[in-house]
Amino acid sequence: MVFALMLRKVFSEPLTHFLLAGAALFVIVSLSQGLVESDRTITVTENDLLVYLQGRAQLYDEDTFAELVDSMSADELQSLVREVASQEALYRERLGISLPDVDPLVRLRTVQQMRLLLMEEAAAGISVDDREIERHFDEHPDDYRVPPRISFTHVFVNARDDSDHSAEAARELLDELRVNDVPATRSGRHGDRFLYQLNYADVSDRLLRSHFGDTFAAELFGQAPGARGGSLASDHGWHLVLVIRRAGSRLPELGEITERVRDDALAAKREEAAREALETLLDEYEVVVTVDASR
Amino acid sequence: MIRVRLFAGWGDASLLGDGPDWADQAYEWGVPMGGVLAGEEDLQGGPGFVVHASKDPHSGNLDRIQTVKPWRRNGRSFEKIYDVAWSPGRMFDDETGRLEPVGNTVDAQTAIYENSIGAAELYGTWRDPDFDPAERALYHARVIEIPTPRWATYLSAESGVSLNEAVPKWLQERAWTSPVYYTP
Repeated sequence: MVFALMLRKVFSEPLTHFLLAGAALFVIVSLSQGLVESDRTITVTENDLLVYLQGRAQLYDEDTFAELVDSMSADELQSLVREVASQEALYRERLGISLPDVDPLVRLRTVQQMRLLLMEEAAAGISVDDREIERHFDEHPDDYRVPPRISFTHVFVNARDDSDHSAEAARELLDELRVNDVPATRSGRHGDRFLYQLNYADVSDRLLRSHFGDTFAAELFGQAPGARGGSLASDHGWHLVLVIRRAGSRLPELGEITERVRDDALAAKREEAAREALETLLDEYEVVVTVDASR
Repeated sequence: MIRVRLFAGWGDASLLGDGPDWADQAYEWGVPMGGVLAGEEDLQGGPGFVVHASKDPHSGNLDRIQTVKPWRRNGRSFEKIYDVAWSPGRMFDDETGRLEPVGNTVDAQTAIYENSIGAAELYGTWRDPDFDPAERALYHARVIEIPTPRWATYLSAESGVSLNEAVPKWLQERAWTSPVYYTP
């Protein structure tokens, strides 16, 4: 009771009011001065120099760079400190302007970075069991189907500018090859020079299309192995083909490619988790559409 | 992938056949790229070369094949580039020593080019007109594609972000062989 009366008396004194106001002002000024000071002071430590040098060189070896700093002359060290301080100053200045808002490339990069962070976080700790691997294989058979392969040799007749003449030349050469029963190993002594290979071993439709064009690739797989077929047209001329071996498309057993299917199943599960995380994030925003999106 | 093969030997390489077995003949005649050209008693006319290149099946046609010749004289290094084979329909100016440019089909807005210029395959023979039997030299072939969009042009077309004016919009991809060495 006595203590309360004393407090009331102290707080009613004008001198106390003055002291409290002064203390409050001191705290405010000190805080504001501290903020300004820390914004405009760049402290460069030896660690800053090492981080800077390693980042610039994309080589992380602290001991080596510490030796480098130790061996620097006064001028070199001063120049390095200036570089580090400039970088820090520019970095701080960017806080004043929102770079992603004014630079589309920074915005794109920021969005990419956030997407990666979101995906990594969503996909962390995800794994797949045997049942999921089996289900992935059953649901995506086309991803694992081995495409048809073919081995063949060919004699090439260049179409040059006169396709009628070269077609006739190809027919005559084909007759000659058949009459003389020229084996595959001697095909290279006949016809014209071809820009790619003379012999193709166990190649896919994709490679054939890139070397000969789509039509040739489709027709070649219709040729029976063992006999010299007719002349097939390509983007470059005529080809008297001799198919040696042909294997159709097949779906391998899961046991042959388990590891590959496991990786794919895991990637698909991670992707799904990332997609769901992005949807959840988007749900936290209200999206206002000002264009007619019902088209 | 651009494919290229170079052979060197003594004598006129144009006498070799240019049929499907050209490489067989070239192996019998000279040395393949990476090899050493041994000296002969009759060095008149200099070494001959035969070179063949095919376009990358997934890229542009070929503009030209060149021979690049670095050599040493009096302790100093020199280099000269010779055009050896080029796509049809272009003139070589003997006075300037320059070949008419192949042209450019690159559309930087869409990052699309056309194989309407250049050649899918080039084959040529060449003889060193400046050969000096006393000088060490090496020869390698360089194959140059027609202009195709540079990677930044593809990114720009894909993203819609316009390309910086200072950035080249196209380039000419190239391939080169191991050299053939000549030591007196």
